[in-house]
Amino acid sequence: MSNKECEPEKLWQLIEDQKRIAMDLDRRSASPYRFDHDVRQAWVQAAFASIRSERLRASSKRYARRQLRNVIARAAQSRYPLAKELVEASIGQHRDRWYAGRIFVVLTLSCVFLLLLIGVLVGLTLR
Amino acid sequence: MKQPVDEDLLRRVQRGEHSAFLVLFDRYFPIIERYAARLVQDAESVADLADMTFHQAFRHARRSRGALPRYPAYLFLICRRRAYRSAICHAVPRPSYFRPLRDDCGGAPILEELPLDIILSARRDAVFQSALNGLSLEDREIVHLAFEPDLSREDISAILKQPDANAITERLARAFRRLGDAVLREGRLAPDLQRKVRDRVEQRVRA
Repeated sequence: MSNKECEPEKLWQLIEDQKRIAMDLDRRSASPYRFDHDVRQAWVQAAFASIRSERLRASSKRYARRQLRNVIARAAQSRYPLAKELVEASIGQHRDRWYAGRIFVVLTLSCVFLLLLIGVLVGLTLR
Repeated sequence: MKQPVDEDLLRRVQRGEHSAFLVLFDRYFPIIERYAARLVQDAESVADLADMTFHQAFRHARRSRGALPRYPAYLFLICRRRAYRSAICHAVPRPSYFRPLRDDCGGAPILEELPLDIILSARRDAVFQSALNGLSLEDREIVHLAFEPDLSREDISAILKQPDANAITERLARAFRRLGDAVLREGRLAPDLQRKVRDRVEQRVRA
């Protein structure tokens, strides 16, 4: 098999190895130095380390946790938590359905009225 | 102390012990937030997206889950759906789920041809992150997901709605080649090294 053909599978294998090393490192059971002069492995390690080195603001987690706690507290207080919360969450969706229902009723009534009108006109013409 | 597994926590939530969901939140929020940052690249939208992902996951957690992907993969799936559905992603072209794979990385070097200079330099992380952010959304996404320790190849194909794991492997290889190419450009290699890489690529293309 040529290099090009086996490249995708090899790449995946290298990434899997890298993920395993990272998980072992989390459990403090592995050495961080696993370079074996393989260019491919070195590149995968570098990409892995660089991607994971990206830092985000820590405050957003605290804020998100507080928001989620509020949602959980509301759900616990509510007698019918799921139904009530779903209505709150999808209020826009309900409004859309209500508009669609109203349009449907208006159209249906208009059609019935037109049919009645045509019937009356046809009846009058035939007389 | 042994941590409770996701399925046990979800069962507790379904039984009415809602605060058990906070354990799942603490466990997965950082990785979902990082993924959201990869998708939308705007701090305000990232926070909203990660936040709403967990609100939706909590609502769903209280019902029976049925045949859904494993838990972390399910969170990634919710986050991805929300990102694509919401207006914050409108500026980015929406990738089609089953678009045929493009082979437009013919000129990009394969892994063995990449030089070690950049990855040994002090600017390595900045160069990689800048190169990754310069890739298309599809490439960024698959490279990011491939490096998530909690996700298997099957999980990734479920998140990206790909027919099987082989499609993921192929797509990842192409994305990684484009990443390598972008890193070379970002890293501004010395001209002689650049020439050497180009010669090797040309030799391979001719062969």
